[in-house]
This record gives sequence, C-alpha cells and structure tokens, in this order.
Amino acid sequence: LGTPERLSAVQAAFVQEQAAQCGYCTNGMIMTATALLAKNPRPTEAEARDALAGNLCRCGTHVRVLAAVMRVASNGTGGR
Amino acid sequence: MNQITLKRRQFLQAGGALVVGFALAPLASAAAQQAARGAFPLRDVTDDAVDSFLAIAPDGQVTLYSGRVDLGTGLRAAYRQIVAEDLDVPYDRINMIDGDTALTPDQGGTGGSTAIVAAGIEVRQAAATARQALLKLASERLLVPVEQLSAADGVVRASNGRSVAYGDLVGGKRFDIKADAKAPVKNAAQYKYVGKSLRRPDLPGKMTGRHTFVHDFKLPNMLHARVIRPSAIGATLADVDESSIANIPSARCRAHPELRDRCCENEWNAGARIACFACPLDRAAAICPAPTTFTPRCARPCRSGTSS
Repeated sequence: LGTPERLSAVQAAFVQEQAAQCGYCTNGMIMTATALLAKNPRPTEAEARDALAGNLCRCGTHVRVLAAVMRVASNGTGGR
Repeated sequence: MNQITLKRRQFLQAGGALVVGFALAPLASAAAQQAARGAFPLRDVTDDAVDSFLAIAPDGQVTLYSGRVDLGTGLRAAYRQIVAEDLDVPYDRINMIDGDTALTPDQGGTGGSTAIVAAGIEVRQAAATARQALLKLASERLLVPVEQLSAADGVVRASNGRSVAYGDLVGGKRFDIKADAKAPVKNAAQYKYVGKSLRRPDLPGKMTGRHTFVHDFKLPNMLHARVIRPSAIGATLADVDESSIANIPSARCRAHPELRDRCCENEWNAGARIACFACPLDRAAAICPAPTTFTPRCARPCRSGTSS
C-alpha cells in the first residue's frame, strides 16, 4: 500500500491516531480498512465497526483504529 | 560457583561473548562469530553504573541502553524524553538500544505498567548523575565554578560566555561513576520534552509491514519448531509416526513424554507439519489417567476405559 516514506492515507491516519501498540494485528487492520474504504469511501461508524469486527487486537487499540478509519472516511477519498 | 544460583548478569559479566560464541558454535562459522563480537563488544552492564545506561560519543550523539523493552507502549519515545530532559540533550540526538541483554543493564522484566514509574526512575537518575558529572568536568575544563555553569542542548555554558560540548568533555570515554539517587532532577515546570506527545519511531514500520518482530529473527541454520500437545489433559505420548513427516525437508521430531516438538528449516514447513500431524496425533494412542473430570474432553484414542 505504502512505504514508511510514502504512507497511504489509511496508513498515515493510523500513525496520526497512534492506532497500534505492538503492531502485530496492524497489517490486517490496515488491509481490512483499506478494502472497506475502497468500496465505501464514507462509511458510518457502525459500518466501520462491522467491517473490522473480525480483526482482533489484544493490546486494545480498537478505539484508536476506529478513529483512524473515521478520519479517512471523513474526507471521502477512499483511503488511497 | 553454583550453577543453579549463577545469575544471568554474573554469567554475562563472566564472559558474555563466550556465552554467545558457545551458543552459536555448532551453527555459525568462526568468521560470523568474530563479526558478531566485533559488532557487539562487551559492555559493563552493572545495574547501578551510569555507563551501563548512557554513552556519549565524541560528536555528542547519546546512546541510551535500556533494560526494559518497547513492546509498542512508546518506551522508545518516553525514555528518550526522560534522557533529553535530565541530561539536557536534544531529543533527536538520542539513540536507544533495548532488547539485547549483552548490552543493557538488567532492569527486570517489562510489564505491569512499571517501565516509567520504576525503571524510568533509574534512567532518569543515570541521566541526572551524568549531567552533574559533565558540569564538574566542564568546571575543570573552563576553570569556572559549577555554580556559574548551565547546560542546554548538549553544551555547558559559563556565565563568562565560554562553553564546551558534552562530546568534547566525555566523548567516547566512560563516566566511571554510580548513578546517584540524589542527583538533582528537573522540576515539572522546567520540562521541555517530558509531557509532550512526541512521534513514536516504531509506527511507520508497523504500518507498512516492515517492523521486525521476534518471529522474524534469523540465525545461521536456525530451526523452526512447533509443539504438538496431546488432545487430553494428562495424556502421555505412546507413539510417534515419524514416517508421516518424511516428505518434509529437514523436518525432525523430538519426542517428550508429555509433548512433542518438531523443528524445520523454515516457518512454512514448521506450520505445514501441523497439518501432517493431524493424522498421526489421532493415531497415537494417548493414555488418560483417571480423567473423570475431563472425560468429555478426552481424545477418542483414550484406552483407560473411562472415555465417554
């Protein structure tokens, strides 16, 4: 999707919201969020929660992950 | 020395390089071992020495050696903030090394939200002690009393306008002092770095699949292992069908009375073997001793006569 130097919109939002602790689940979160936003550039929070329901984070970053996804959703660019 | 009471730290002090060399001896070439020693020369890692925590290079670059590790909690930012504050060096001029017991002091395990409140205090004491030592060195160098000196951004300045950089005072050399719990620390009103939300260095790598997890480490001839546990509590191993993994290159099986583990030259094959062993595990006759409480969970091959 992106590199550390050129992050995708979703990756950049995850950095801005510090939406990772250990980072082990992060790649899956980012792929799921990117797929959601590509299909639905302005999901509601309920839709985002539903899309991410299968991605579990043991560190407990779900609230920040959701904030990152909604940050991208708010500009409607589809996450690229 | 008693083998059992020999502490890890004493062991490393006695010969950390030898320990590493011994561990790798059957695996790595002599050249690789030599390279490893050259890259990581032995350090003093006594728990209370300033040098165990901090090193200042001639160019003023500071290295912090942390006995606690950043598990994604932001410790690499937080400890650098603490050092920047109480050593009076710019945040960006600090590198942090964690997760290497041959290089770092033993600050105990990382967990329980204690990395700041307990181990962070040790880092702060080391930084504050080093700052006092640098002021004293600067006093001798500039022939100005310590009271007329101030430190900021890695430079000691005297009231008469003269100054000297940390790197010129101690660069590449040891402090050879113990961390002083009474060394004066900044009060909160003076904080420039602590309390600010600074960039976490680990995040861009984690967001782009480039972060190195412990699972990603590779050593020469390293094997990957999987433990296959019995399917019932208290079961013991009766039989292993080695032929079931004969088709996987370099797969080995080591039987243990209560577990089995198998090693493979890559993670993929190690995982693949789990599927292969779905068969032999069922065929292995597990013996369940008096499993009355756990009968519903007992594997089909139980032959103690108590299976459901």
